[in-house]
Amino acid sequence: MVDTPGIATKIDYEDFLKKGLKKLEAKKRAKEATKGVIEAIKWLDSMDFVIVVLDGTKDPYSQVNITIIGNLQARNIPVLIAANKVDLKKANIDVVKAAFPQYEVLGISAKYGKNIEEFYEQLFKLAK
Amino acid sequence: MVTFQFVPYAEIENLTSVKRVNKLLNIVKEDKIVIMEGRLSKEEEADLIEITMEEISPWFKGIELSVIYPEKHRLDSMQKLRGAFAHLLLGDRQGLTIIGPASIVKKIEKNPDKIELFTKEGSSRYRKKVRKKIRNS
Repeated sequence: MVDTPGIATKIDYEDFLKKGLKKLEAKKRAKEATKGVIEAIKWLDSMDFVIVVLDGTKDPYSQVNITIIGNLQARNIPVLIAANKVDLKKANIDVVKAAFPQYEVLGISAKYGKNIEEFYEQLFKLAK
Repeated sequence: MVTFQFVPYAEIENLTSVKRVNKLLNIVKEDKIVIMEGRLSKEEEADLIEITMEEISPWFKGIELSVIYPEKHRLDSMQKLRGAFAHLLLGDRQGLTIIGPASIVKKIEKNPDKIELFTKEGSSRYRKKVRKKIRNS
């Protein structure tokens, strides 16, 4: 099992400064984040199945989501999409479902454990 | 001032995937926004993200990327057939790819009728600061 960081197209060490980190530490964290994204992309070729965790409150049509899910689809890798943060009013799981109709989409709240049992069931079904 | 550079598909057509991605990224690193005719393959898009991450530094913070492509579900069967034929003849020339430096482009939003490119406030001041740093280093 490989847990990768969120895939991004930009990383700014100044964002870590805003979180209260010192300059050197912020640069180190930014470097780690870039390495994480590189590794996540390299791992795409070795996966049996992938759980894509999206923020259910945000627009799912971001180019990163489309690129990564498109790559998984092109490699015929089974995918389960977990739309996180469904405890928030802003969350809209229907938009996520509409964006990726080819895959099972499950709304979860990692913070409150909502739908986690169902998430595990779907995960084991996918892994069989 | 924001500079856009148009890249016709013919300019990248015969390049290898790595060269294509590097060519586009080099333009972006000159603080220009690339408007490319057509699109990269899914694998090349992933390569673009990977190479971007390898190049991240205090002076290059990454990219904003957006691909505008005809949405297949909005086309009727005749349009789909014509699209498939065009794809066969022309390759990935359909659509547009926009790539901008993250230090200038805040986000690119697209919806069926328009594309909105939001630039960062004070990005020209930031670019001057970066150029000064590069000159001094």
